[in-house]
Amino acid sequence: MNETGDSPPRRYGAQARQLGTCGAADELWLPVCLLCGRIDYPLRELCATCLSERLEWKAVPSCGHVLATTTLHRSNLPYFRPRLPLRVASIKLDAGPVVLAFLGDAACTAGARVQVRTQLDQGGAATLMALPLAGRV
Amino acid sequence: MTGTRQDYRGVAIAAPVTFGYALSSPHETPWFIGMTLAAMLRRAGLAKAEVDGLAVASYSLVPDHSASMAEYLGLGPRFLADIPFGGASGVIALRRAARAVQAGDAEVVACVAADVAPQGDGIGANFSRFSRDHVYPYGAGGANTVFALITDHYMRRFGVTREDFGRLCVAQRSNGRAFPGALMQGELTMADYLAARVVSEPLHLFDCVRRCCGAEGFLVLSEARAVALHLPHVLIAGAVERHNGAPQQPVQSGPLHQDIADLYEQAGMGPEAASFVQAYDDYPVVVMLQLEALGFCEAGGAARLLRERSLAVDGDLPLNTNGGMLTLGQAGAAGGFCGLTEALRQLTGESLGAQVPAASIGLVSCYGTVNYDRGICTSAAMLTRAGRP
Repeated sequence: MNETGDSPPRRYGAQARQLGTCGAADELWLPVCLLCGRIDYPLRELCATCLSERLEWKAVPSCGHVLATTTLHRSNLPYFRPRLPLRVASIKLDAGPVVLAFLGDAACTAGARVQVRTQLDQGGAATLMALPLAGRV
Repeated sequence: MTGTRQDYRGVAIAAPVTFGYALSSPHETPWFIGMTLAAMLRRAGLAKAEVDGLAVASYSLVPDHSASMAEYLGLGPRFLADIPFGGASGVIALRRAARAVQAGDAEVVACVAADVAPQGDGIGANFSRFSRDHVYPYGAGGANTVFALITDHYMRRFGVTREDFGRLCVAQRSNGRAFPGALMQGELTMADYLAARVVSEPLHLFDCVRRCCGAEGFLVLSEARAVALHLPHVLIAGAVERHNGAPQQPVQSGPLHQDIADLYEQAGMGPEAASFVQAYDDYPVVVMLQLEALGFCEAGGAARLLRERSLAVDGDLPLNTNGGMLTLGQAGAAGGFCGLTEALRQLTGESLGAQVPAASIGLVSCYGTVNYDRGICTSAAMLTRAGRP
């Protein structure tokens, strides 16, 4: 956290800092358990299914569907206030986990198919961004 | 029944205290804890030296903890518990304290929750590893973001409307109007509720608790000691807790409790035996999910339940009889205690506000710790008035 709050939030965990540093812009890379194949999110240092520490960052299927959406009209951090309202969604990735992401389309609601990619904020840290695809679940 | 749960025979709860609700305070968290303890001791007629156990729930006590409080307050306890489980902390503190008393590890355990209102970003920026890296960077909306998503999902899945949530908020405000010190004074009408400004769609102003300072506390001691002290007290018919109990739900949608069958089996009675319900109410959807999990209706049936039953203190399903946090304000971890202290007062006939007529059995449901996209700690207890035939 910066002192004035006019910069984007810092990331604390090594995994969160690694997000968005691998692969092409339209790819989604996440740590995959080499023992059981599970993909966990939020990011961890070991697998929440088999407790293996053998995780490897890989390109994973980046499509999923929107579970729920909100539009934020207030923020606790000054950095975000000029950017309001902000659309945020929870998304069930086809690859398994549920992720929170910014939603790049104002009309996108629960059930919409989306593609999730990483984008870098002003501080160079990655957030997830969901963009609409054709079709619904 | 999961394994063989030992009952809570011989344990009493007494001296409930609600203290110091205010939007801001010049005082620090230890002052709230100490003032609450002093009020509990006055209520019980006990000397400070007779307290040999201390359980503390607080976010703002950092960098201190329960042992720091022992020195700060001049106590020499032989049992300590730190209860960092927010909204679920009340019944969890009770469970820890009750087992300590049963085992003889302590004779009198003071359970206290206290917080001062967070400044600036508050606890949202650094609440948990998961939230600071995976929720906060998405607009820094705090818990509102998570519960807006849970509410959106619940509304779409079950066809629930803002009016349905409004019915709950209006009823709770009405219950709390007689409660001294509640921060949200005055009548709330459905028109007020519906006209409120948007915070994080679909949540609007009156769906969100107001952060504040405040403290709650109670004593756990042997039933024999409570009787000897002539203390009005309450007994524990059953109590359960569960953490990260339903990770398979893509969005938290119920059942919110996983051990309710155990609770009712231990208590030897079901939900309809309860004279009232106190359910954690950081957001209305959470109350609806608890009513469903407690068995008052099926999943998604809470909106209909609220239309059919009266939540008033003198109604057929008295709910959050002090108005809940939506009326009192949310004093951090004390919000995890305020339903329990209110239940104790209702059962001993010591209500500070409106009294449920002939209250003999109370159901308390707690929920908290938004670690990522949901509250992961739950607890619940069935309490009975001492001397019930």
